[in-house]
Amino acid sequence: MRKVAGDIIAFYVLAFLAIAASIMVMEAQDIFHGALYLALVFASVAGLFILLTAEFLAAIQILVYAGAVLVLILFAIVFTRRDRKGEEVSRGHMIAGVLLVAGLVALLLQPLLRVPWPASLIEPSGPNTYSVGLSLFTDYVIPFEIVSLALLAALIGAVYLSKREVGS
Amino acid sequence: MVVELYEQYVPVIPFIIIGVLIPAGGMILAWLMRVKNPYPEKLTTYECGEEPIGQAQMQFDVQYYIYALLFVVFDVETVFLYPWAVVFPDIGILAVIEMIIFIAMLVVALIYAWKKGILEWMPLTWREMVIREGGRAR
Repeated sequence: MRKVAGDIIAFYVLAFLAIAASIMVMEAQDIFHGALYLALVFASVAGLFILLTAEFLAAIQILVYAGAVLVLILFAIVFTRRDRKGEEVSRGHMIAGVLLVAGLVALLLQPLLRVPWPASLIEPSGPNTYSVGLSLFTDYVIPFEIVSLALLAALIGAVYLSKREVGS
Repeated sequence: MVVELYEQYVPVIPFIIIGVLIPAGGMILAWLMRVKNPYPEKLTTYECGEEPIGQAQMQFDVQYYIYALLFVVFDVETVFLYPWAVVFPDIGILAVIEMIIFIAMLVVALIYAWKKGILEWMPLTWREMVIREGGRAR
């Protein structure tokens, strides 16, 4: 009984943090602060992954999203000019934004409506970092090696783009 | 009794609480104890006695971005090292070969970036600096 209460409390705290921080991302006066709130969103979602016993996913969430992606966003903010602050949003942008969000919500609702609630829990087959590793290095070796090619391509693309930037 | 995975993370909770309390507590204590006597001189930005020019939130050089991009690529590589380290004792030499191929591919990427001179810092010319400051180059 105590155990059940514990994870429900943890869920509500994390869900509240994630939602509150998401709102702050949009409401923050300074876009830089917004990006920092985004870090909190990523961290809370990582916590939710742990509650779902998806430990490996939580580690990736922290490492890649809270770490790398956020660094990219912060860098992008400090590299752009700040003097365009407070520009009016045009009607066209507003309509495009509403349409985009509506489409995204429709897309996300699809799986949510298909699941019979309350959803049954799928028991993990073992420690999940181990399971991921085992299938990654035995059954899925070729996709794994292709990932390194994708990373190589990404890096060459980045080098190519920044090279032009410096050269011009 | 089966220990759920998230229960192993319970020790993280006091860790987070202490982590928040140390900086917040320090600031609150300082706020309670300090003498409040602000005057214009004291409210200037501390810059070793110099008057700071412009905003602190200036535009940084875009050259830093390539370092961020390189960081992301190698960060994603690190993600794959975690499951590898866990299963390595059970798979053995095969896993080592697989990982060497994987890392070799990224070493190629690093050498490419290096050879292209991306890791070299390109100082701005005087003209570019003047333009950046919002002035007109002569």
